[in-house]
This record gives sequence, C-alpha cells and structure tokens, in this order.
Amino acid sequence: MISRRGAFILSGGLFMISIGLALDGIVPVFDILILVMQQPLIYGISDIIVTYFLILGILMVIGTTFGYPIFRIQANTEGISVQRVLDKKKCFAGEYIHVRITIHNKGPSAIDHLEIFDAYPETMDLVLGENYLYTRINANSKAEFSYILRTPVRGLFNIGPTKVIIHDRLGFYEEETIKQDFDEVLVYPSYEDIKKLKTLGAKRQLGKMFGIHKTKLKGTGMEFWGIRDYFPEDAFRYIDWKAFSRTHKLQIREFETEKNIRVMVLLDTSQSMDQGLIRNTKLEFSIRAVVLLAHMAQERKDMIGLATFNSKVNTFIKPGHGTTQFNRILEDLAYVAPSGPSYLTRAVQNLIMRTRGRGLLLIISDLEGKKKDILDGIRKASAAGFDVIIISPFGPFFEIQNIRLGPTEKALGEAIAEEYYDIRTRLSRDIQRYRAGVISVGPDDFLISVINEYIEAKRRGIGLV
Amino acid sequence: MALSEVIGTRVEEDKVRKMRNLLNMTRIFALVVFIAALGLVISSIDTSIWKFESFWFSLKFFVFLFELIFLLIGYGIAYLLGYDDSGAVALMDSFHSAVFGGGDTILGVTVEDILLQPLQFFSQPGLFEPIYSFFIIIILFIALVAGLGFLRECNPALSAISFFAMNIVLGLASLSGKLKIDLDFSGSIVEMIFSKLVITAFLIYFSLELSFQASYVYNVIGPNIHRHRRISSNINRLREFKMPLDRMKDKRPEPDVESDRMSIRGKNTSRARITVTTAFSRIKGLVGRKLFRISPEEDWDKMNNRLKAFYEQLERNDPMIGVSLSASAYTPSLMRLVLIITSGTLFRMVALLLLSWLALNPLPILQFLNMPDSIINSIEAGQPEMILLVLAPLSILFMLVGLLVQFIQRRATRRMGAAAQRPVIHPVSEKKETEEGRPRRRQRAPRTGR
Repeated sequence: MISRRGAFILSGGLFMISIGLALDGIVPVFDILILVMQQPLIYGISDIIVTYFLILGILMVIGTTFGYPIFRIQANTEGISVQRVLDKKKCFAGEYIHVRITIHNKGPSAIDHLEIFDAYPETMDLVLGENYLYTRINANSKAEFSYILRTPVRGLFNIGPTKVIIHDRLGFYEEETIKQDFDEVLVYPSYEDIKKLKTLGAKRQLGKMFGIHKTKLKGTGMEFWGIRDYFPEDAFRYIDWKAFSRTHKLQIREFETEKNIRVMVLLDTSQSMDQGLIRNTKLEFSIRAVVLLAHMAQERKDMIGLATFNSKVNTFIKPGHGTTQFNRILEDLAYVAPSGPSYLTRAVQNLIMRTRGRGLLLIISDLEGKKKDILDGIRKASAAGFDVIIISPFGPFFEIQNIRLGPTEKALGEAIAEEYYDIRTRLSRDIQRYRAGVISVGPDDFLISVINEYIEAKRRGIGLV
Repeated sequence: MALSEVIGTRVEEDKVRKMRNLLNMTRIFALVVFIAALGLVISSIDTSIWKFESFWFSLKFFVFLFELIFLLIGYGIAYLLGYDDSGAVALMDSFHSAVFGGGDTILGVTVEDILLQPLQFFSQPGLFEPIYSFFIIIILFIALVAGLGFLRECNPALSAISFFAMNIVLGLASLSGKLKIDLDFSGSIVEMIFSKLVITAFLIYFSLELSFQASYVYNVIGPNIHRHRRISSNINRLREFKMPLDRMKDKRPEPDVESDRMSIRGKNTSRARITVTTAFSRIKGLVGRKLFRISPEEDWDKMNNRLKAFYEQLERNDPMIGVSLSASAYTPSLMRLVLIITSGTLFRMVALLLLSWLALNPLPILQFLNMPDSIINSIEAGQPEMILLVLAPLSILFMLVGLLVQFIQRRATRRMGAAAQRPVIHPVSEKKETEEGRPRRRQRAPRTGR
C-alpha cells in the first residue's frame, strides 16, 4: 500500500490544494478590508499564488496516485519465491552453518526495489555475510546471497521466516510479505569438553601432566592392583591370608575394575534449570556433564541411560552402550528445552517401571521443586535399589558468576546465597536419611563432580552388569 | 590466490566502480534540477527583497517585541494597582530604564508613545517589509542547506525540507506582492508547458521526485557497495588469519584472579560445597576447574581458526562463495538502471503534465461528458474548485485500479496454492522420525528467530 513517504506527499498535495482554495476563498475578505479602510492594502493574496499552490497540489496528488496501478502489477509478492539451502541441518554447538538464499522473481515484470530479510535465531551469531539484500530484480531472474552463522547453543532452532518488501523507485508505495518458510536446525551439545578430555589424555600419555589423572581404577575385577592395610569396613574375602601368615598383619588385595557398570541419568529439565547467564544456564551445564559422562561410559563400555523429566518423563533411553547409544543421548539432549515444574516422584516411579536392572542413579536437578516430592522421589529410588547420587547445580553460583557487582548487589547476592545455602543444607540432611548423596555444584566443579561420581561408582562396583 | 578468486574480485570491483559512478551521476542530475528550481524561485522574487540590512532591523524588531510585551504587562499591572495613565507610563519608563538601560525602545520609539498609542507604531508604512525579507532570506538559506545536505547524505527528509522551504518562500513573497510571475496561460496545454509559473512548480516538484530517485539508487546500490567492501575485507582477513604461535604452545592455565576477588561464585564451591557422601580432593577440584573452565571471553583465535577452516571448505566446494557472501553479483545492471530511471522520469513528467492540465482545465472533460452548455459556460466552471471535478475521481480511479489488480493477483495466488499460505517447516529429519515412530518431537515448539 502507500508508504509513509507516499502518504506524506499525498497529504502534502491535499494540503497545498486546500491552501490554494482557502487563499482563493479569503480574497473577498481582503476586498472588504480595502472597503473598510478606504486605502489599498500593502499585503494581499494574488491569483498567482492560488494557481501555484493548486498546480503543485495537483502534481503531488497525481504524482502519488497515478503510479499505484503500475506498482501493483509489479509488486506481486506471491511471484517471488525464496529458497533457503543450508549446508547442514545438524551440527554441534560451536560449529558453523552456511545459509544460501536464492530469490526467484517468477512474475512477468521487474521489481525496482526489493528488500529481503532472512531471520535467524537470536542465539546464533552472524559471523560472515549479511542476512539481507537490497536489489533490483528482473522478470524471471534470480538473485542470491549467503551468510554464515555460528551455533553457540545447542537446541532445535528455526531459521526463517523471510521478509520480502517491495518498493517503487520513488518510495511512494510498498508491499510487505513474510514467507513463513522455516528450516529446522538441530544443534547438538558442544563436543568441546570431550575434546578437552581427550587432549588431557594425550598430554598424560606424553607425561606432561603426570600425577594429575589416574587411568586404572581399583575395584572388583580380576587384575591385581596392589596390597594395602585392612580397614574395618573391608570385606573379609579380600583379605590376603598368605600375607597375613607372613606378616601377621591384615592386608587387603585390591584389583582393577574389569566389569562394567550401569548408570542411569535422570536430568531435570524444569523451567528453574534455565536460570543463569545466557548460554551458561544450569541446564546447559547439566547437558555438558551428561555428554561428557556418556562419552566416558561409551569409551569404557559401561551402560548408560538417560531420562529427562519435568512434570513427567519427557524422553527415556534405557541403559545401553556403544556409539549408537551415545548418539541417541546426544540427539535427545539436543532437543531438551526447559519448561514446566519439576516432579521428581513421578519421574522416579516411571523410571522404576521402565528399568529392570538397578545401578547408579545420577539425578541432575537443582532441587527447586517441592521438598516432599523430592524426598519421596529419592526414597522410592533408594527403596527400588538404585544407588542415588544427586548432582545439584546451586542457583546463586550460576546467577552471579562473572558479573561485576557493586557492593550493594554483592551484599544482597551474599544474603540470598546464605539463605539458599541454609535451605540446601537442611534438604541435604533430609536426603541423606535415604542413603543418597547430594553434591551442590557451581559452574566450575560441575563437570568434574559428575566425572568423579562416575569413577567412584566404577571403583566401588555399583550397578555391575 | 586462486584464479576464480582473482576473476571474482575483478568483476566485483568493476561492478562497484560502475555503481559508484551511477550514484554520483544521479546526484549530479538531482543537483542540476535543484539548482534550476532554486534559481527560478530566486528569479521569481522581486530584487527589493534582497536587502541584507533588513537582518539588523529584524533582529532589533524581535528585541522590540520583547520590550513591548514587558511594557504592556507592566502597564496593565500598574493600571490595576490604581495608577493613572501618566503614573503608569512614568513607572514603566523607570522600569524600562532599569531593565533595558535607556529611555527609548530599541527601535527609537518612546515608552510613552508605545504605551499610549501602540497601533500607531504598527501602522507605519514599510515596517514589515524588512521582516518579510528576513524570513524569505532565512528560509531560502534553509532550502539551500537542506538541498546540499541531501546531495551529501541522500536523505529524502532533507529534500522534503528543501521543497517545503522553497514553497514557503514563494508564498511569503506573494503575500507581500514581491512575486514577479505572471499568470501567463489560459487553457492551452502548450501555453501551460511554457508558463513560468508551471515550470517553477514543475521544477520544484521534480527536484523532489529526483531526490527520491537518487535516494532509491543510493538505497539499492549504497548498501551493496558498503557490504561488498566490508565482507571482502572480512574474507581477506580470514584468509590471512594464522593462529598465534603462543596459542599452539602447551599453555598452563593461569589462575583466575577475578574469581579469587569475588567471594561468591562457582569457582569457590569447594569452600561452600555441601558434600554428604563424597568429598573431592582439592587437587581434583582444581583440575576440573582448569580443564572445563568457561572463559568469560570467547576464544576468538580459536573461533577464527575454525571459521577459516569452514570457509576454506566452502570455497573448495564453491569457488565463487565470496561473491555469494558479499552479494555483489546481484547488484542491478548500470545501463539498465540508467535506462529505467531516464525513461521512468520522462514518462512521469509527460503523464503528470497531461493529467495536471486535465485537472486544471476541466472543460474538455465536461464536454466529453456531454454536459449542458449552461454548466460548461457557467461562472462556477471557471472557479478553482472545479479542479476537484477531475482530480478527485482521477486519483480515486488510480487507487481503485491498483486495488483491483491486487485483488485479482491475490485471488489467483490463493487458487493456485492455498497450502502455501500456511507456515512451512522443513524438519531436521522427517524420515528418521517417522521410521522410528517418535512423533513427540513434532509437538515441541521450536525456538523462533528474530
């Protein structure tokens, strides 16, 4: 329809005509004044200016209206087809996607001024090229542009829609349409942590970080590990009686872990898990931890399963091993979006029904649901035979991380954190009664805590397959 | 440097140069018309207007107006307080001396005269003539500055200011009888075309339209030129990018000073952690902290390196990827643009002249409509209001035809593909989902873009 500029000129033209006619109308008033004052006036209105304003007004009105039918013939937005081609539809967080847009004017006439804007999710970064084009496009011809996006955050995203705006050359008219054409892009969680872990492994092999990381695990296998002194909680079957006969000291024979364990991860995807800095929310850290855990379990041929829940269980992957299992977990994690409240009891009940074998149950939740529900859920999980560990991202650590706070905000933050701390301590004590452990974590020790729990479980032989 | 890259760059540079030339040409054309319009406006005004001493008088006059308001308010208050004419005048005289520092006003009129006979001052001949001159010169100056400003920035708002300023100048000049144009056409189209009045109006209007044309060229070409420069430079920098050597070295993670300063943050969780069943050694915590730490700033070198690798891979698949990214291959053709602008402008000029003539002379229309002689020869038929007889229906007709075209187009499109009106989402892997029977992903609302 008529653009703002067109409307301005049209109304200006009508204004000019009105002034012309008004001036023509008030000429008799001046005649009356001359009669009253009995002398000619110095100031007056001539026919010239009346005609001038009328001519100008006519030009402006006709100038803005007579091109409209021609514009309408040209501006058939339906004749514009926009095709978007992505070089890939699935990628890992931190990778790049090349988006190519091809515009085809299928209409019979050229379009003088075409604007195309292709929308992309605000979580993605435009790193090269532009997502718009201003051009003139001939009839039955094509134009093309492309841009490169970086995908820093995992999730399911839509690229699109595309806005098409057609102007005439003078900018008097414009036609806008939005092509509701979307391309889904699935961004898997970042592989960066796994790379870092591999790099660490390589460094350790080269002896650069000697002493930091252990590869062999003590446990319940057959491979001999070593001998140590007996402690009252050790099982009698591991006592080395031959050594006792020699030394008269109770000693324990330790073995490397050979058997595989079963780990089930219960990931809370409720809305409260979305708290924290953008791209570094509690949920994002939890997902990083699960990816890392899944990778480690895959490498060690352990069984790992994943269930995501909020008010109900959203996705469920029964424990398994291998690359396929890892990919399944990755895919499910990519789709996770925080929403709704958290009901742990329902999730645990569902989990108990769907899994036969018990093992380590790693609950990753911020424990911000109802206290009774949390305790019930943990009680049921423990009663069902799971060895429950709760890795709980502690809210205040995520919300104030890296923010340069003023003294007042800092004091407020500390007060809130103290309050949270007390609540969490009380809850942890209650949870402890059900033989479950709670580890409150912040952004920096989140991943290592999960890894350590896994290693510890493996060492202790929890949920042996 | 690859051959395709060389050819692509050369073609792009050539195109950019041509585009810049076209843009400058349009600007020069708009400048010529603007100067012609301004010249016509200046030549249409009586030379007596160009008195630059009127500036000083006008400035004094504005100060005088302040004095007058001050004196009249004071006089009114004095009168209300019970002073008679002579007392109030004497009081205001002394006040005036105290505030403005003199007996007479800035224009030399005494306080007594201005208070007792204010109309006498304003009725003196030639008082407003310098003020008219002042306003006309100032507004003409604004028109000139705005016009020149448009040539620099191609901002249509400036040309609109210039357009209205020139019209105000003509209006003011006409009001004081200083407009020296004759109404030198009666009804003939030829007379109308050669009339100075019509030429002035046309030139002023066309300077506006041409400025819009120039703005169009600037909008279509300008962003493409900037985009080409910017993206080409980015691509070159990316090609030349090399990962700094110190990055490749085995660098031990440095202690985070910031985290130590802040008392509450994730890094300090070893102190605040509530461990119930498992306690980690301090060393393990440190390892995790260093290994999986989130850098407050992104590692730009690493990202650039990855982007470079990604770009090189794209370039191997499509050697003209640089052209596609800078979108310079699809900028409008120079010759075609010149042709369109010239023919379009000429067509508009002719059409506007004809239609304006028809609107100004409705008699041929009245005769065409077989109106009775009593109407055709009536006094009303010669009145200016008669322009509406043709103008209003003509404008409405254009709009209606346009709307009709739009209606037909939309209807045809709707018939051809109603389904296309609905949003289309191309899923990530439709096949996989249907095979595996996992429809739950369909139900998830994807995050929408900006």
